[in-house]
Amino acid sequence: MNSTVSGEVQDYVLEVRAALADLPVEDVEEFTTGMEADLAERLAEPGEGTLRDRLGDPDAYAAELRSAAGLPPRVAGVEAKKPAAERLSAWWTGVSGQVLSEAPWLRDLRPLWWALRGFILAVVPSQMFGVSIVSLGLLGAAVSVALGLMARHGTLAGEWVGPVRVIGNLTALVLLPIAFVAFLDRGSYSEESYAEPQYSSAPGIWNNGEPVMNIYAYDESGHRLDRVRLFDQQNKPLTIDPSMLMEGLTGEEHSSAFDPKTGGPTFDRTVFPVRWGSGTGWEGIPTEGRWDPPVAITPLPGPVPSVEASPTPSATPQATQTSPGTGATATPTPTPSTTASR
Amino acid sequence: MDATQLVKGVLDLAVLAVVAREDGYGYDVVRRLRAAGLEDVGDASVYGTLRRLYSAGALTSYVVPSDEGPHRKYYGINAQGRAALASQGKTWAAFAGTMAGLLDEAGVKA
Repeated sequence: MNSTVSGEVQDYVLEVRAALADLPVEDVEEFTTGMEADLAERLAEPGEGTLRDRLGDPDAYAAELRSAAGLPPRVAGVEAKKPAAERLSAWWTGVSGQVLSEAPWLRDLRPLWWALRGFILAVVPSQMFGVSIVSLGLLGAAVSVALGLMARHGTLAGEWVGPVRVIGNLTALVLLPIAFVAFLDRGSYSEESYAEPQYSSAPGIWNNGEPVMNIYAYDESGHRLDRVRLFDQQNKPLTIDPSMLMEGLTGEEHSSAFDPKTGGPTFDRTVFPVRWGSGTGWEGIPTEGRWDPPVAITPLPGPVPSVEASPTPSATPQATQTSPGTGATATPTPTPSTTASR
Repeated sequence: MDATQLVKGVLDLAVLAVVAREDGYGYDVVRRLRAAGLEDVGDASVYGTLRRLYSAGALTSYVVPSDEGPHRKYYGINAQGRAALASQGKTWAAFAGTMAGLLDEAGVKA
């Protein structure tokens, strides 16, 4: 309004206006016209302190004004008219200011909070997209610290900075427990997957934490090997856990693979691919991520096996050349003599 | 007894009385009330009362522009305000008389 009015007076009037903001504009104007002059005069009087010292808090002042004028006290619902972010921002400034004045050393820990804040906020995308909380969290922490430093050095400026910062901080506070749990969970998951192979109690064969329901063997030329038996370093035959298979099979397949009375498997669990009923074992398991084993896969690189192999096991080279065309999957049971005899 | 509570009850009357003598702006009215002895009167209470009396039609109001500083808003009394002052004044005088009598009987000197 006028340059001769001190900023203190103007600030005070602004705050009183804000506290009256839910009233009709004309009322607010009525109240505040002449108010600057009155306050300036009040301040110019000899005496103690600031306007606040003399008149009290602008909010209390406005409340007294209302009450004396016979206007309703400020309604909480109408308060929402003021931009929520602004009020939130003011509230946060008050709270954090109070905390910092009680514990000034917290000021030094601010960058730590920035990092933590970024880490916590990263829990949202991490949970949404199933990305690791650690990598996203570190990214979030870095971004948050950078923003904090930029804001501190004044590189970041604008009206949005305050509200965004407050909302970010509050959201981080709210999400803190969730992020904490997510972080702990992440720990246990990774532990689980690392610890899995050590479980001597888990039956059957496991492949990177997932149960193996069947094994399909291919020889060096990329062709199927039937009726394979596998052993570990202790001469123990590799055996699949039938219960895993039981969950994957349904209907007829299930009843042919498991004895309906005893519930036990009807097949030999040590000969791969495991087969039951009239199946060849190469049908694939109807389960998540089902794979239908092809007749042949890419041969291993290197010299063509037939040259070397031809002298000893006579059946192999011929069989490999004919089988892709015939599609006879179970019949050409070539390879070493041991399996062939079975 | 808290004087501020008492003042609240008669602030309308006090403000009317002050403005009836001479037009005044907000803080001027405050100062005159204090000078008259109502030291505990609150600034905002006076401004609010002026505003309410004006809304009720008991006061007139006009703005005096100023070249040096912000505008001043003056209040003056009108016929309705004088009538209110007269009737409320009577009520107050009667009330004050009653209280004085009561206290006198109790042996309290004002």
